[in-house]
Amino acid sequence: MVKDWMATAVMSLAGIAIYLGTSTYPRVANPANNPALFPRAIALLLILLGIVTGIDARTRGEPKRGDDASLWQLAHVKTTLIFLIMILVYSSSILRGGFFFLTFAFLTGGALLLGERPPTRVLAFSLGLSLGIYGIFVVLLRVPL
Amino acid sequence: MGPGSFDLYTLGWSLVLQPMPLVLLVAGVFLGIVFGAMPGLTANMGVAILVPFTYALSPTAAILMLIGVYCGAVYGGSISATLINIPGTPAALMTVFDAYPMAQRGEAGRALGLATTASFIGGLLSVVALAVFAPVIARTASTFRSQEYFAFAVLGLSVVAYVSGSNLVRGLASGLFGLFVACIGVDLATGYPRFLMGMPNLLSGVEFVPILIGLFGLSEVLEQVYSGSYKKTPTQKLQRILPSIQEFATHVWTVIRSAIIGVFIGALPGAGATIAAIVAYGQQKRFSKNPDELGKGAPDGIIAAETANNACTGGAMITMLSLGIPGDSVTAILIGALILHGIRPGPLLFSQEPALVSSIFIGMFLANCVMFVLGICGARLFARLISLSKAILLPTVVVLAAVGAYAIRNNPFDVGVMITFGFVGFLMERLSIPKAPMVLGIILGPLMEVNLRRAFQLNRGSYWATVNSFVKSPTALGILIFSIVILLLPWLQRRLAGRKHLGSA
Repeated sequence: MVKDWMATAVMSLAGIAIYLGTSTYPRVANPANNPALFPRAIALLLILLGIVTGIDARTRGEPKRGDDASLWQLAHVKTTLIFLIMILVYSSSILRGGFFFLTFAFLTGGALLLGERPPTRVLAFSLGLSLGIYGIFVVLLRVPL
Repeated sequence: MGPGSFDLYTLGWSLVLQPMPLVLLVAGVFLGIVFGAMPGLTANMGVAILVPFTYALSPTAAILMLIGVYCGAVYGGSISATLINIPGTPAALMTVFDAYPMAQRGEAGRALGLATTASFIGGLLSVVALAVFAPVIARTASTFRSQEYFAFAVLGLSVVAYVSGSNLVRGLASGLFGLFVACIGVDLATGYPRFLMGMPNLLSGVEFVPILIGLFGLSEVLEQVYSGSYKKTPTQKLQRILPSIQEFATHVWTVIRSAIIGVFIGALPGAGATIAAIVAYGQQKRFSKNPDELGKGAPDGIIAAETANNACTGGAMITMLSLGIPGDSVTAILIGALILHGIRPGPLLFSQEPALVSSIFIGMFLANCVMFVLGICGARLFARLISLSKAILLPTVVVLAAVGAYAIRNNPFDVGVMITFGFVGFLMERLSIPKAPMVLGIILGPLMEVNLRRAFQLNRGSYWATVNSFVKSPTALGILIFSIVILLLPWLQRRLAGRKHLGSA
C-alpha cells in the first residue's frame, strides 16, 4: 500500500515536472518541429499512470500486516547508509586522493563493513584486487586516474 | 548478407580467429559464467560492467567479448540453481525446480551436465536461426518506413512492460522514464536544448553506459547490502558431469520444442530468457508422459528450461541486429556498446558492416562451444567460485562501476551519472518498479521520437493525415493493435477469471 502511494507520487510528480520543464520551449505550429511534443506526451502518460496506480491502491484498500515489510527493512539501513557514504567519498575523490591507495582503502573498508573476516585475509584480497584493477585500467587501458 | 555470403563468412572467420578476439571471447564466456553463477551478479550487470573494458578494443573484439559474457551468463545461472537452490540469473528460475532436487539425490554432476549440454544445444540452434532469419528480416525491414519503426518501438515497450513484473502499470511507467531520459540533451531536429538542468555536460545527452552500470551494477550492490543477502552459501560436491549421448537422445523432442520457443520469445522485442524458460517448462509439463515427475528432479525439466533460455540469446540477437530493437535488456546494453564503437544496429548494418555481422554469427557459435567446454571442464571451479565471499565481491563491483563509468570519456560527470542511476535503480527496486523497461525506453526513445516526427513531417504536420498514414500501413497498424492487446491482456484475463468464478458459483 505504502509502495503504491509512493509509486503514485513518483509517477505523478515526475510527469508534472517534465510537463513544466517544457513550458518555456518555443511554440511551433508543425508538430514535427516541436521539441516539446514527445516529452509532453511522456509527461501526460506518466500522470495518467500515476492516477491509475493511485485508484488501484485505493480500491484494494488497507494492506495486511507485513505487506510493506520489504520496503521498510530497517535491519541493514545503517550498513547501507555507511556503504553509500563510502561510495560517494570514494567516487568523488579518486581523481584527487590517489587512485591505488583509495581503491585499496575502499575495498578493505567495504569488506570489513560487510562482515568479512579475518582482517589479514581482507587486506590480502584488497591488495591483490587493487593491483589488478590498477594494472588493467591505468597501465593497460591508460585511463588517466 | 545475400549473394557472396560464403566470402563474408570466410572473412568473418578470419576476423574471429585472431589471437586477441579469441582470447577475449574465451575470457568473456568465463567471466559471464562467473557473473551468472553468483547469485546477485546478473548477466545485465556483467555486460554493463565490462562494456568500459572494451573501449580500447576494435568493434569486432569488443562485441565478441560481450557476446561471450552474454552467452556465459545465461548458462551460468544454472550452476547456482543446481548447487545451492538459488537461480544465479532470473533465466535459471525454472532450472531450480528439477536441478536442485536431482543434486540433493547426489546427482549434482548429472544435473549440471544436462544443463550444460542443453544450454549448448539451445545456443547452437539459436545461432542457426540467427544466421538464417536475421538477414531475411533485415531485408524486409529495409523497406520499413517511419510508421513501422515507431510501431515496433511501441511493441517493444509494451512487451517488456507486460513481462517484466506483476504490475503492468509500473512497467510502463519505467519505460516512460527511459523515454524521458532519452529526451535529455539537444533536440536533433531543431537544435533546442532540453532538460539540461543547468548542466552543460548534458548537452550531448546522458551517456548510456554509465546509466547501465548504475542501474544494473551499483543498484544491485545497494539492494544486496540493504537486504543482507550477501551471506555465504555452502555448495555441493560434483561427480561425473558429461551426460551420455543415449541419455540426451531420449529428450530430443524436448530440445527441439524448447529451442523453437526460446528463439521465438527471444526474437519478440522486450521479452527475454526468463519468459522463454517459463513457457518452455510449461509446455514440457503439457507434453510430458510423466508430468507429475517435473519439479522432483526430472531431466526433461532441466533440459526444457536450459535449452529455451539459451536459445533466447540468438533470438534476441535477431531483433537487435536486423531491426536495431533490443530483444531483452542485455541486448539493449549490447546496442549501447555497439553505439559506443560507432556502429548502429539495424537493417543497414547488414549492407554497411557485413563482415562484422558474420563475425557476430561466428562469435555466437564459438561462444556456445567455449561455454560447453568450460561448463564441463570447469564445473568444479565454478562450484568453488560460488562460495567466494560477497563481502569482498560487492565493494569490487563498486570500484569497477566507478572506474568503468569514468573510463568511457575520462569525465568525472559520468561517475555522478552512474551513482545517480544506481540510487534511482535501488529506489525503483524498493518500489517494485522494474528496471528493464527503462533501459529499453532509453534505447527506443530516439527511434520512437525521430520516426514519429518524421511521420508528421511527411504529412505536413497534420495530425489527421499522420494518423491516417499509420492506418494505411498494414504492418504498423497490425503491430500497434497487437501492442494494445498485450497491454489490455492482464485486464482481459482478470475479467475472464471473474466470469469463470461467477459461472462456477
